Amino acid sequence: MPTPKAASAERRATLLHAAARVAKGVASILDPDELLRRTVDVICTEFGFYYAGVFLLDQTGRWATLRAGYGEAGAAMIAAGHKLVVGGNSMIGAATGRREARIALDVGEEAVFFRNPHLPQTRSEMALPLSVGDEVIGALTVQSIEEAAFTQEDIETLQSMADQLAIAIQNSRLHRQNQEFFRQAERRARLLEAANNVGKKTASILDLEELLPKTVDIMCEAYGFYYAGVFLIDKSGKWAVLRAGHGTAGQAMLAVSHKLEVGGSSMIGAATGMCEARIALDVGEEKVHFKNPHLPHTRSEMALPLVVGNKVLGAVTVQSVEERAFNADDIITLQTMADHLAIAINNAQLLKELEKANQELLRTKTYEALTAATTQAIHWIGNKALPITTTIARMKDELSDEKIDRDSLKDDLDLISESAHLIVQVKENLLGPAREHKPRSAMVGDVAQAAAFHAGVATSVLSLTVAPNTPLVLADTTQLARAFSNLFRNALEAKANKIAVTIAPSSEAGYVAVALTDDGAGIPSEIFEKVWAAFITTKGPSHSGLGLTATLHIITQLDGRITVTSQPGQGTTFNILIPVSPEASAADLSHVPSTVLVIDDDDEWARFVSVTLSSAGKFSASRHSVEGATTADRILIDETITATKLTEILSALKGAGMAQKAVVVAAAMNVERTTTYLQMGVKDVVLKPYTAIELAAVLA
Amino acid sequence: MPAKAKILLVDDEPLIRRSMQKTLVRAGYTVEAAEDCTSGLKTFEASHTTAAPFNMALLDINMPNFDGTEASGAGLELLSRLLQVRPDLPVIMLSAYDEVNKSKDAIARGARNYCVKGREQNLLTMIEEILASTPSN
Repeated sequence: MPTPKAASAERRATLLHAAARVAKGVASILDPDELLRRTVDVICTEFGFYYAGVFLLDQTGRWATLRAGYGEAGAAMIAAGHKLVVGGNSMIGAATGRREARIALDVGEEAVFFRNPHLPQTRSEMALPLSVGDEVIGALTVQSIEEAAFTQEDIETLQSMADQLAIAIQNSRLHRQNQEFFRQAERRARLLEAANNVGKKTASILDLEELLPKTVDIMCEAYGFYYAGVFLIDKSGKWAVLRAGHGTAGQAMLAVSHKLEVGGSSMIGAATGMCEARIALDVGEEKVHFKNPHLPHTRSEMALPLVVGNKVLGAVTVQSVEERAFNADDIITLQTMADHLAIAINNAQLLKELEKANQELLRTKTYEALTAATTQAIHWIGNKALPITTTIARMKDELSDEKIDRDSLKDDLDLISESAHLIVQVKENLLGPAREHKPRSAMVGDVAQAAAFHAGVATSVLSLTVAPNTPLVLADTTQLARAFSNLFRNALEAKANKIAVTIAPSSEAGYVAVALTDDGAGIPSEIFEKVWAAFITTKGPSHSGLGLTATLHIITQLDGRITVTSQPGQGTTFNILIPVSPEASAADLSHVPSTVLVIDDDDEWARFVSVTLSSAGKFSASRHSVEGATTADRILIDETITATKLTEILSALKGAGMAQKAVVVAAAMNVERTTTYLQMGVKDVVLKPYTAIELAAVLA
Repeated sequence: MPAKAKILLVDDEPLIRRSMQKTLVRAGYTVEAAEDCTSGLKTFEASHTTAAPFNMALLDINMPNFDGTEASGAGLELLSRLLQVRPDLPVIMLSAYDEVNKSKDAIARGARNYCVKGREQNLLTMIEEILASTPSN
């Protein structure tokens, strides 16, 4: 049997050994709850004590709260929120209050011991302060069912273990704090990135109707919010009106024109009224929050004012399903984002105002121009109509006086007829360019040729040169032909003997350049500046002066440009730029008839048809006459053929009963001509095809 | 050519009705005028089974349709209705606008010609020729 001294030494060695194991076991545990639980378990199992518990001081420093307790007793006391006053009568109170170890060897006799119903068998208790440096962070209680269970040496051994435990607790707290800092830093970085994203994605959108819905969606996606909405203050300044809202809740509120009073008790009302961010972390408890039936899950809400300079434009609301979802950092990043958004909204509003002002200006200018043109028109029409009324009055007088002179009557009728004709001509010129604009790919040389034909330019007067690499233009060919015809008629009226048209790719990319030069009288310098205006003419009162106005209008409608240079007595040149057509896509010509007769001059268009059809394996023949019509499945006739008269061709086909195989193709459509050809029995009269796709459609 | 051919003239513009009627009457035709599709059809049907039916019709294109509302192309509907009653009736369409598609539509429905008001020339000659080439006249 060992001596008491030897037994004491052995016990001390066991304790030290156990203490070292506790310290080693717990030192690496970084979760504070796990650390404390393991500590009390190890103390009781290794040392064979009845109970161990760890108290930690709360934030006020006034209470020591039980954070871990051994066994059922410990669990029961933690569940009951067991805590003791620091500096109070209890042993823990004394240990934490005086920062020194307390021992009660028979607790029944120790005044400071609070008789604990959960630990009825305790006969010895030790309370050891847990301190780091000068700071007490809590206390450790160790209890035994033996009386006088602890010696001074035990106190020292366990105190050294308690000191290590205190350091471990401190470490774990620091670790948790670091983790929290890290988490916050990470969250902040994420928020800043999201704010930056919102800023970047919204800065370039200048249409409010696009900007606001996109912003609320980007915000909800980037931050993972439950809901985001943008309110803008209306013109009265009294209401913040919802202009965009995320998801179905947003749509439902937009549908009922959801609005909140500026300066009212809602969060948006407060944010817009006071021009400062508002946060409600549990909106159930926040008075200013408007309980919104569309957003039942909102637990945190932030309302951020949208401010540019001193002007409040509105506010953004962001809502989360988590309680306390926002902190001070979030306000800063989200407010930064709201500031970017406010600038974007302001830009969009400024642009809208600018557009409105521009439209207003345009309306004013259009009105001025119309007024000027109308004045000219009224003056002109008045001048043309006056002879009609005065002549009629004279004729009536003559009739009532029965002084009827046949020559005078004939002369009067000529006067009326001429005036009426001029008025009708104005209608023709004004109506033409007002037509619907249907641009398509077109051979500009072929259109010019057709225009010259219809304007009555003799083949001996016209020279047409098209550079071989000239691309197709994008134009309504009926209108373009009308524009060219007006220029040809002007040249003929200026007594031109030669009209040269040269067509080539423009030096300006994307355009074909057309130069139309005549050797006529030229434009008198006094009216050169006004040459494009309506009712301006060099040709005396028998002209309306609308030809060049119509031409300018048509070329502008085609997104082209036209300029003029002129030398009086030497001639005039019109330079026209017409946009190039996009590359035509391939066509399926497999279903077109296998034998096609083309009746046309040997020109660019006839060659295009021939090449397109033969490359599709079809047989085509170009003729100046109806020769070969019998064997052809389909006959295409160019309306402006010069080698043979069109009416002769159509009569021949009709006579041979083959008119129904024939289609007349026209660069420019015209009612009277179309009616005439149809009356002569042709199958159809259509716009001339200039691409393989159009050709396939015409021949289908 | 029958000396006293009877022509139906339908146009909503009173001045055009008046001047056209005068021109045709002076040329020896009998003319009855109507101002819209409904009254035009009624006038035509009223005389169709009599001893003196219409030999020709001149129809405006844009005028009140059968519902009484102004419609672009109302005259085309009247054209078809008249030809239902009498398939070989020669009809000339008149329009203030030169619309190629309308002219094609008119010819396809059976109109003998389509004239743009103000641009029509030798209307009387055209009427004469069309009447002469219509066998039942």
